[in-house]
Amino acid sequence: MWSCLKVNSCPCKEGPLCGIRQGGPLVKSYHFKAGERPECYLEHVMFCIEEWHSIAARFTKPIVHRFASTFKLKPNDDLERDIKWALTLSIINHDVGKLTLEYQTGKWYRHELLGAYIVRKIFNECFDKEKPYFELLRDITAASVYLHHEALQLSRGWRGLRSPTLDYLMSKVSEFNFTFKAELKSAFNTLNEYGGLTVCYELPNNIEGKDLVRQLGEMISALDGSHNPGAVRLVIALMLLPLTIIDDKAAKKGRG
Amino acid sequence: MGNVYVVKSTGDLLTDALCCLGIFELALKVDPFIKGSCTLGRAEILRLKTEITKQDFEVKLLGELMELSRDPAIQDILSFRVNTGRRDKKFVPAHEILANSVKKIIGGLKEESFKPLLKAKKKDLETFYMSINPIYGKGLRKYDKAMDGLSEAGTPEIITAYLVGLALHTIKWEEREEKTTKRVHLLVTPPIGSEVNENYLKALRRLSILYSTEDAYAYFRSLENVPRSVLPVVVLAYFDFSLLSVMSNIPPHLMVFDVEEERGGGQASRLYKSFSTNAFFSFFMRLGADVHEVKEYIKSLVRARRRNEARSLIDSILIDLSGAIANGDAMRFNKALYASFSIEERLKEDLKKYVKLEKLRSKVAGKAVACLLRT
Repeated sequence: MWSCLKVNSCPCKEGPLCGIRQGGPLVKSYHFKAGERPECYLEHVMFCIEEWHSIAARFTKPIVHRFASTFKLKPNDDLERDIKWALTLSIINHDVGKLTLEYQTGKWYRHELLGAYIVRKIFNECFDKEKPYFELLRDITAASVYLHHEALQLSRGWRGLRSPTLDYLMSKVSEFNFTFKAELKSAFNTLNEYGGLTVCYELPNNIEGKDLVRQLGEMISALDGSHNPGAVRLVIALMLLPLTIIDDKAAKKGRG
Repeated sequence: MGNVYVVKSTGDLLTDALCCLGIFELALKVDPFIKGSCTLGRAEILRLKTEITKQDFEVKLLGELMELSRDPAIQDILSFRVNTGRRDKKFVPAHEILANSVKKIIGGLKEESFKPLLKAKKKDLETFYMSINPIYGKGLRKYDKAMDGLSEAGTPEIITAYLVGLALHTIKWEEREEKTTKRVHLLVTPPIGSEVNENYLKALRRLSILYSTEDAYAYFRSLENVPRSVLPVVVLAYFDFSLLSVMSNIPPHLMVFDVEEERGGGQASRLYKSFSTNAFFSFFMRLGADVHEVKEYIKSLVRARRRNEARSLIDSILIDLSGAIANGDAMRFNKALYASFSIEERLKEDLKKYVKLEKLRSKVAGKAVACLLRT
């Protein structure tokens, strides 16, 4: 019998997304096989938030300093607050691409592409556009979400491909159409609130693959075409580090 | 964004394009958050907005230029010889021209320095050698006009910005004929008359970074003596999907020119051409999810050119492909596909591996033809 590992703290307990009485999670965190523990998406994100609170202090300052030196800025409280917000956003929403009807019904696509797109959209709606680093911080955060399974992609053969390039994935995803149902949209809002993040963005009902490709194309151009792509990639790698550590630890807890 | 830096046209499209790309390169290093727009073909070709005061900005641009001129990587790219025509030192490497011109810039890269090129001898102007800018020099603007004896000249600011653009934004390869060697440069620029923003210029910058990879080097080396009309299709096949999507609203232009290194009368250019890529962009974007296979197919054909046995056959296929896409001619596309399939029979075993045709056999070919029929 499946039991929830976050039964005492889950904000969705006994709600329409709660799987305790249904014998399994209603919002899947991954496509599990026989013998694997079905992990609930809500459980996974809550574990991530918990882990993030325990390591945030250790990771934030070095990232702030690296970001500041890369973009010729002076580190200050304001910048630190913004970067911490961006990190928290990426951690809570790194798997948001799994909240689609398509993923929940078993369709194959790389959810990181959609996650990066949504994180970029959240930035557009919720971040102060007057700040000079708005676009670069947005794109770096989105890139870290896109890359959070990079090692996985490089080491596994997906559908006969040893390592699908982003070019390949983007061309394939361009004809997709992603659907968000109302109850899954509410999971997005609840989890951001649970993580202490005020997000003034509503998930849309549909996201077209063509729009996703255009947005991610802009993201890649802005980062690779920036003044120092090598240094920018280092900032992305630094933001990626806590995300992958947390994701890994949370998955171990949730999947056993 | 309080301060605006405006660059005016030099009266020559190639110089304008490379100066814009060169200055943007420097400006981005000075201010990573710089905003701006570029419109080739107008009086004001580049407008940059920054928080830095104009005077500071100009000084910092010069600082970055000085640093860049000392960069061994740039010196390596600009190692080709320039015919100065001087008796004491006839040939000097292009990076020496850059270094000498940088030394002549005083106080900053001032926006007023960007003004029309002249055929004149003036104290503040430097010769714009034909080995660098092939359009003018002592060459003729009119087909049957007599040589006027004066070389084209520009300010050191124009020449240095041009050389930065030439070094960082052109793909360069060499072509050998019987007695001559040609240095061919190809660059991707914003189209004439269309305003593009800093993100578009960053995409072009990303493209220039892609050119410098090992894979790109090998790919573009395969373009030796390729028929010029196929350049748009083979260059665009190398664009990744994100570049295609970013530039699809304003497809860029391709410019190509060459400089012959040995011929009796000194170095000269026999080629200067600009290509519109609209039809090719439209075709690639319409392919949607199948664009990957079609790009791979075209890239495979280009790579197969490395072997001389198949070169003329592949060139004729590429000419047909290019013509088919440019004119929306589905029959011609089919002809190119048919000829490609026959390569498998006609080429030796070891050549087959270059040409990936499996995926084009069925629905991808159908989709490509449908895309052409819609144009």
